[in-house]
Amino acid sequence: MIKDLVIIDPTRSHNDEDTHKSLVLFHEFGENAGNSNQNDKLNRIGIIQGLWSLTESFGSDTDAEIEKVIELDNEIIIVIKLEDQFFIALSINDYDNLDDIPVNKNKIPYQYYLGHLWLCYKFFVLQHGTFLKFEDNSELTDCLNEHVVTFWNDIYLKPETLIRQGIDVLFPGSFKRSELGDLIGSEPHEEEIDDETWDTMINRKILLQDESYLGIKDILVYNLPSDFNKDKNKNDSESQSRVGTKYFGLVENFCRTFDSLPDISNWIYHLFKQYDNISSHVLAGNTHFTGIPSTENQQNDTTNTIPGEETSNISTFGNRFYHNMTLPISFAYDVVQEVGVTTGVSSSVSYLKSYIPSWTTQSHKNDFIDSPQKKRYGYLISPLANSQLPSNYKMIPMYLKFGTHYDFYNVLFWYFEDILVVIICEKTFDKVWEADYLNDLSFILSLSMEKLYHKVEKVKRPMQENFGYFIVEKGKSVTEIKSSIPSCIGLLKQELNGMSPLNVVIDGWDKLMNQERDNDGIIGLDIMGSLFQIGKPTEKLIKDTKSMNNPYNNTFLDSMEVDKLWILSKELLIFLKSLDKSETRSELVEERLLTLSNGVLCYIKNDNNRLVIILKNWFDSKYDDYPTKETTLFNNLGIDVTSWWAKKKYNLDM
Amino acid sequence: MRVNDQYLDTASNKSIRSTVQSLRGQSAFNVRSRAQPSLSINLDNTIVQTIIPPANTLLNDASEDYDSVHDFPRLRSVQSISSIVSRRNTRPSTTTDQLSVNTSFDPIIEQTYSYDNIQDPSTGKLQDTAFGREVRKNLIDRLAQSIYSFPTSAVGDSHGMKPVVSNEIPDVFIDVESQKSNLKSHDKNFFILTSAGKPIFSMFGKDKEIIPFMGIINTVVSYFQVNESTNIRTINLKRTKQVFAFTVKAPIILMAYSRRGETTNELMQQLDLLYSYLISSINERQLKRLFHNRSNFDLRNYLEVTDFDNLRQICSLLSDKLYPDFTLNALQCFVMRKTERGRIHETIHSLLINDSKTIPRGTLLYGLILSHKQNKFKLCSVIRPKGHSLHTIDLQLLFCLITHQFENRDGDQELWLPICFPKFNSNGFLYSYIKYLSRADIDTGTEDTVLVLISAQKDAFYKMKTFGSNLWDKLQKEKLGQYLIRDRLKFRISDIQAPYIHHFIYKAKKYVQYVMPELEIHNSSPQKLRNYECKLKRYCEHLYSSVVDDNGVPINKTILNYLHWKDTSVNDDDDNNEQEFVEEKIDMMGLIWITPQYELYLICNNGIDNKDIILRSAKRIIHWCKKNEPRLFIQEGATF
Repeated sequence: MIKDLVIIDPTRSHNDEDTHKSLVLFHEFGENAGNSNQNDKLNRIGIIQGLWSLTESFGSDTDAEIEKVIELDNEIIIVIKLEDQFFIALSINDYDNLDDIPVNKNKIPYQYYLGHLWLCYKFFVLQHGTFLKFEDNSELTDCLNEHVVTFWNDIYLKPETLIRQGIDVLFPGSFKRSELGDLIGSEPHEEEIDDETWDTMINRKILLQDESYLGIKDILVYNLPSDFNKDKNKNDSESQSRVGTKYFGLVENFCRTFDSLPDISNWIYHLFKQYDNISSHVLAGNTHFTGIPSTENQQNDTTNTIPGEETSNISTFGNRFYHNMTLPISFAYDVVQEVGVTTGVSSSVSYLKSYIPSWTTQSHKNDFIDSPQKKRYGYLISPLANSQLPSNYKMIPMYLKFGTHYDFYNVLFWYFEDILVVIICEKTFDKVWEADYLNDLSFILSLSMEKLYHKVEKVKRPMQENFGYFIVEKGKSVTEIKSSIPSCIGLLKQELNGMSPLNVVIDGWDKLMNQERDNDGIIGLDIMGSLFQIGKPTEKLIKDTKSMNNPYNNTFLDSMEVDKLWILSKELLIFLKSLDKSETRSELVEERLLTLSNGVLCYIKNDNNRLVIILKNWFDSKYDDYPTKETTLFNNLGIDVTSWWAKKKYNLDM
Repeated sequence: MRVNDQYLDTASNKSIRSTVQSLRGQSAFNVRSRAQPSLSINLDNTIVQTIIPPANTLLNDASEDYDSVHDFPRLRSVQSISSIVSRRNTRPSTTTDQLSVNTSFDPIIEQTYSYDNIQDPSTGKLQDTAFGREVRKNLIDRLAQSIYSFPTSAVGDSHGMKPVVSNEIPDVFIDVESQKSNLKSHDKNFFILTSAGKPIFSMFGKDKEIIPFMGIINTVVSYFQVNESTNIRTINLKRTKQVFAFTVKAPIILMAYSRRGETTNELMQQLDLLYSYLISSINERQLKRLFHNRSNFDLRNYLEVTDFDNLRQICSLLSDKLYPDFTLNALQCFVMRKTERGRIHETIHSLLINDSKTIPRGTLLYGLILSHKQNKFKLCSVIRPKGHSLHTIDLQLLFCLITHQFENRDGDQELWLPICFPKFNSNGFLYSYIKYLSRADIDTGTEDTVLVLISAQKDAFYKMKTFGSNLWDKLQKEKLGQYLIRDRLKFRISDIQAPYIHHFIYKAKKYVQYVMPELEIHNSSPQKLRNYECKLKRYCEHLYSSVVDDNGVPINKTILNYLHWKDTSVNDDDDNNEQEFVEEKIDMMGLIWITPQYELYLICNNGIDNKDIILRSAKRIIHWCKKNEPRLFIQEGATF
């Protein structure tokens, strides 16, 4: 598990006396938190620098290394170098490489930690800019405490987050693209041939409109279907638009020079995977995990911690903050309770709840919506939010790169069923603060999304594929991932014994919904300051083991048991590592074809432009009757794979 | 003519294709004009040669008598092949000719590359009675194996280009920097130091270069020991593919550095071997005693010059040579007929039983007869107690010792050496009696053959000596000695009916032994040979690392992995007909097959991308190895 996180900046120290100055952040997790003294911390600085210089002395002069993994007998230290002077070191203890020991069966390989370490930095930059931008060191430390520590604390409390994004996370510089667009495009347009498509509508009616032209830099459309199939009774045929891993991710964006696309996309995916939902609180950064101890206990804990350990202070601060923020609603709750008691209605909360709008996954939507025609949509983060809410509920400033230029932009979030729309505006674009404009924008977006949904629902539901794929498009200016390999959600459920030690902290609401938690979703704040239900609590999901996996059955992997899927993904890690270490000349194409024990055939192709991994069901005999012309490694995968590839219009040079 | 079975045993490295136009029909490279199945040319320092061996019945027929070997001598020289070919001066020129080779090897090839519509390059009729039908069939079978058997090999492609046959393979790996000017430029290095940071050995680098590193290595290791009560294992760098592996065996620290994509496990094993060598020279108890009260002790003063030479040699074998013994943890065996090996073991066994006066029970622990050629040892015979065997690392250390002890000695000398076998007992010594039974002689065709007798008794030299000479006398008397001193049954890849395969290594896990064909490189330059070995080594290592995790554990108990390298870049040279030779594009395949019984590493010829054919060849090799198991491996040895 995560042991500690150290961030150092050696340039701050000028002599032996002031080594401590180079320590930017030192945070320990778990029971031993706060046990290290100053000397230990200084030692840590020394050893990180020592290891770095030792390895540098053997490295080539041209190719600077930015990440190093130090394996100890039972611990791993991951060090990355940022902005040419900062080092972040993450220690993971109880780490054992011997995967065949049953106890360690579910240990998460360090590559996932490494991927998240990069993501953590990228998310920080997204919200605050680079480390170097901070002139005041203590300000940097404060920000790091607020964001980096909470990021890792959430992972510490819920390690499954690490693997929920699957192997995509091993490529932190790239992002997953949804193939929803391809799916729609594959169907011929019939009656609406003259009609404008959903994306041209956004382009014409929003981006190219006079009032918003150049003010709105880009609009990103994400499809975020949930991994959790909660409603087992529902007939599958009803949910035509249900999509799986393949269709998860960015559907479309409109600016071709938006270089921060991977970072913002990964940020959204991370939040979604971590909290299972995207809500205003999650986006505003006010949702975090805490242990099972109640708020009171935590506050007690805080008083016992050693002064100077800032995380505890943060959580206290957070609790207090949210408490204040949600006071009016808590008050309302008290009133309702009181009324309930006096009138003899004991479960008044449910009465209150029925007024709470919710944005959650589709499987849930019918609980709240009478008419299936009516789709739910609205802003999650916008200036329409209650004026009493903090500014980050109204607008999230983000440090983004368009073309060659980095700057802060205002970002708004809007949702439509499973679609999340991110609107990126110039800081100077004041129109976005006008309620009318926002309502118009919301309306146009809803029209566009209606069209998209309509199309998706009309598309013939694709057959289950007997293969899964993972493609990294390296040749593009921004590396993209296309994947239909599901992640191993629910793997660590055994460790949690069906009882999650976690709660999502949105203070005030915890208290409010205490009695209802087991049955209903988490209650959050809607933008208008009204109540907003954002899905089911984590523990409920973890208990629901059977239905957790793979609602869509897009590939044979979706129906695979999570344990087997985990073994498979660990094998993929081995292959990826061996590709990383491969000494094959870069101009050559390297192909591999392996038979794995669990009836899976694995094909890997790596060249300068693309990394392709295809997992094929070995037992699939459906296409055996189709003879292939040549017996190359790729053709061996079967006609379904080769025709899929040809259809994808990729190079046919395989 | 319809050729059903095509054995393509060739392709080219630097893969050279002749672009000689038909105008230059008389050129030495023109396959059409000569129609010779053998060509030997030297182009751009790459010798390209085709050899057509005769049907090798030596290994295929278990009942084959030794004498028959001489009846059908192996054809190696170009001249001898030419002479055979000249006797068979024709090849069918019309499609009416019914000569075919029907081994029904590959129906796909049969369809695709039928020779029906190919004009035969040679002229005349097939009337050679000297070669009967069977011989002709065999020859064409061999020919098909040996030439580039795409239709264009005979008629040329649209440009009239015809392939010239080569038996070499291209290199698909990043070029290793040949000029190694400083410590940084070496892509692999080993360091051994004491816990006090004093250098003991480094593969490359002078003292003044390495001493600063020793300091840092020592600090890093000590930090984790003191502060974290743990040991550092590795440092992995992704972008530059560097790996640093550490082994801490107080009072010794070892570090390996590599940019070659090796797994942690491989490097750890290599460090273990180096440490084992140190222990074999001074045992663990002595080592600890030396450092007990003097942590600052300089071990370099204690070790001998030969120790450093041996360490250097081990490092070189680990880094630059095709020496699968280490990577596979197995030994290579001297090929011998089952009956011969059986008789030898029987003779040794009976001598052990009957000669108990010379050698009382318990005196002899182990005995080995080894064949030694170019620093590589092959196991001829093993004498061991029932249920016991020596670890391969111990044996490797023994081989190292023999190499160096006899480097400047007369072969007639005998040695009585104390050696610690670390995997047997790291705290004590065993004593080895070593004697050369024969020395290499090209004229008589003998190889270096060594007898090693190991005893736990310090004063058993004379007993061992007597037993050794009795043993050799008896073997000679029984006319078994000749089987040990002449390597008659060594085989080449073309001796196995496994088309398209360039090289393979087969390890029988049960016997901890492996087998591979003789390397064929038609260039005597040591540098060329080293490069070639290095190339094969890299292929095998790449195959291995594609299926094992960092701890060296294969991803499954049974794995079959194909690898394919292809150059897809557009070659401008194709348009340039003026150019005489163009390098053929890389289109290489390899295969690794691991099962609980065996491991097979296969490297194919260039130009082959048909997976099924490779698999069939792989199966043939496995079948061949299994069939010839008693010849290729020592199964039991002389046990007592």
